Amino acid sequence: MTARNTPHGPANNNPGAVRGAAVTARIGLVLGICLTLCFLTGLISHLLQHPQPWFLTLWPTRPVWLYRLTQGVHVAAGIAAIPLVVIKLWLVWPKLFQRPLLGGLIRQLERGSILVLVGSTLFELSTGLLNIAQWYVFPFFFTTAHYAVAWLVAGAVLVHVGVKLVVIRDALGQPSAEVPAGTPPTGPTRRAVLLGAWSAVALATVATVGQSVPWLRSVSVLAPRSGRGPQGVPVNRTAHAAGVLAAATSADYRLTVVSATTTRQFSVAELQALPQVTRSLPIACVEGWSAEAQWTGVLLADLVASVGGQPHSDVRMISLEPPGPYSRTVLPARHARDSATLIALELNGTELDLDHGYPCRLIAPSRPGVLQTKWLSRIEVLES
Amino acid sequence: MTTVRTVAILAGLAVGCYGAVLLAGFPTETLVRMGIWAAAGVAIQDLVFAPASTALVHVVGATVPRPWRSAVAVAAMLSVTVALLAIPVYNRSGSGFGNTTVLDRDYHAGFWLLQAGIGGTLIIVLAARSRCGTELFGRTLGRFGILSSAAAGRRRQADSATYNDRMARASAAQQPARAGKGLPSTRRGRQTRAAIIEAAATLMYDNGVHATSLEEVLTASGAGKSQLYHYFDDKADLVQAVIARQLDRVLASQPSLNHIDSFAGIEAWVTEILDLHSAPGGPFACPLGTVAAELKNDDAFRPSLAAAFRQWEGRLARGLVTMQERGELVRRADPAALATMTIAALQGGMLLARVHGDVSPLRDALAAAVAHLRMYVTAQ
Repeated sequence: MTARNTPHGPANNNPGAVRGAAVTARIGLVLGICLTLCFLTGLISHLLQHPQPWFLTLWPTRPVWLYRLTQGVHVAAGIAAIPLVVIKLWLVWPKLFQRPLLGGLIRQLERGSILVLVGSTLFELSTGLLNIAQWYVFPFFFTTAHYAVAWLVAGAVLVHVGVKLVVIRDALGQPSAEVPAGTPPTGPTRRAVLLGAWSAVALATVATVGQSVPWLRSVSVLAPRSGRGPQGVPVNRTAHAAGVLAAATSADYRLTVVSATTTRQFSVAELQALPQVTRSLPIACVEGWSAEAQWTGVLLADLVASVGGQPHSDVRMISLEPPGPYSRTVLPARHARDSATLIALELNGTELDLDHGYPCRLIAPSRPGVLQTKWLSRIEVLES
Repeated sequence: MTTVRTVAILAGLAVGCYGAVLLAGFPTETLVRMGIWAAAGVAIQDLVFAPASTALVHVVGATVPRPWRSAVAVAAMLSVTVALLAIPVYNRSGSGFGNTTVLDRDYHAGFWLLQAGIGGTLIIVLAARSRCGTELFGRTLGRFGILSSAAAGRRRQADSATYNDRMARASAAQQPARAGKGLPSTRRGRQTRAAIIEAAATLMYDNGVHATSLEEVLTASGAGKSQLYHYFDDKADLVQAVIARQLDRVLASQPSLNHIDSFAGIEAWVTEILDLHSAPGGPFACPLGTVAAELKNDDAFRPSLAAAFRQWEGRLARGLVTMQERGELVRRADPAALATMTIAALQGGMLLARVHGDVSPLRDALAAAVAHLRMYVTAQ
């Protein structure tokens, strides 16, 4: 009749312990949702920047803020995952020393998958956080590394969920705080750990999300962007950094528009003389920040038509910028013919700032900012 | 379930393999650098951060009073989160290329403002949880609680109400339960604490421990949330007090257990039990047996439950020892084992009597137990 611990009941299954599965599974579930959001939105951004024909036929131009939403979610979910991953790893840390340390093949595989999971997740969150602050302290190229390792995270999460599904289901069935939570002699209660985790997620989000949610700008004191910039819009790459100062301000500047049959050149004055339209469109950076602005300029569809181009043609945008990964992009036909796609000459009512792409730039709905080519020098209508 | 798990694991392996294929296209030097970065992350987490956090938990546990620990823990989690997010921006290490629109805030001010906000909020919360704040809050909240306690009262089942009333009357003179943070020093405090335990014991007896929320306890007891947390760390702490309270109820309902010195005394005890369970609404479920049935698999409560049953058995064992000393029972009789056997028969009898709605299983089980005890009667 004396109380004895069952020999087969490991401490982590004790529903009373704060480090038990009930708390870990709840935090893990939310972390899993965050990582899933990161993966899916990241995949969208990757597919937009490394165009696959099947994806471009699916990606819509409306709502115009769609990419702003997906990429804002990408960065916000990644930031929310940071406190969750830290707390979850702290909760399961004692398992690192659980016997047997190595065990048989199955155990080694499980431990190996956890190592991949932890290593790749920390890799993704750390590089992502550093990248949005443009602190390239890691000795490798961000985008390709961040993309490849994302697949490792996704695979390791799936394996982990598969391995732990029974534990997860049972643990989520256990009440979290409203059960008899046996308080360990010194540690915080389950209630406190969960409250801390959700509060940390809320604080992390509020402290940074203002760079994509304008009305939170003033409270997001840790956001890498305040949202301020020339003409009220931040800049990702300056004219100086792009090396286009001389070419962009030259009196000889001409925008060349080319189709299979016709080539036309426009000076800035000639572009200004064409019918001007104004559109309200967000510019949304892959780094998560975004801003809504009023853009005024020539409809791209008009320019394409002026050289006899067809509305079903893709259009290539070429910058004054020396050749590099972002100096030229291809705009899919659906975006090229859209009534919201402009070759912008003005931003928020004044002539485009040099850092925003003077003399003229592309601004299209529902596209990553990095593909909204600035300092345009040449527009090519591609025959389909 | 097995299918879902298999699909998830296989899909995970496939997805991971695609990542490995992508990585296979990287130059070896880049892979080494990435590997070092990932390994450093794991090492910092497992060898520095997690042990430091664990040590911090122990330091807090050793130095911070219990009622404050949860608030301190939450504040620590927030503070660490802010520090992690501040790493890339604090010194604006990434600003360059003459771009003034990135890292364009005063991050030193922002970081310390957030830390000060967390610290300030912690101080306010701790002050609210201190004695002065608790009583002020508790009195205000208590008024609302009293207003709505009637609703919870209706949830009680009639039979258990009868039982609880009988138990309450019988145990009115008993000491309040012993778990929790120690007895309050004021009479009003003791009353509040006893009311909370009483309400919790009743609700948990009627509906179960898991099904009883602290909100219901507050409503039924008329106490305020801050009062509850003043007297109890959490629900577990309250449940410990309820276990002690149910033991008190059980013992108070069978006073003759304390006066056993002969078989006549044992028969008197048995009669007392059968009388109780023959009352309207009976046979009743045992208050201690009910909570034990629900929490029997929980290591956090098994020691308390075992100790409670030990006390119950101990009263009977003491009587059996007296009988042995008087020469009524043989020397080879083991009073502790016999007491345990008798309480086991009583527990099983109460359960079946309650289930069948008939007191005879209980009567028969007790009769069998007493018959077994008589096997140890000293031969005259």
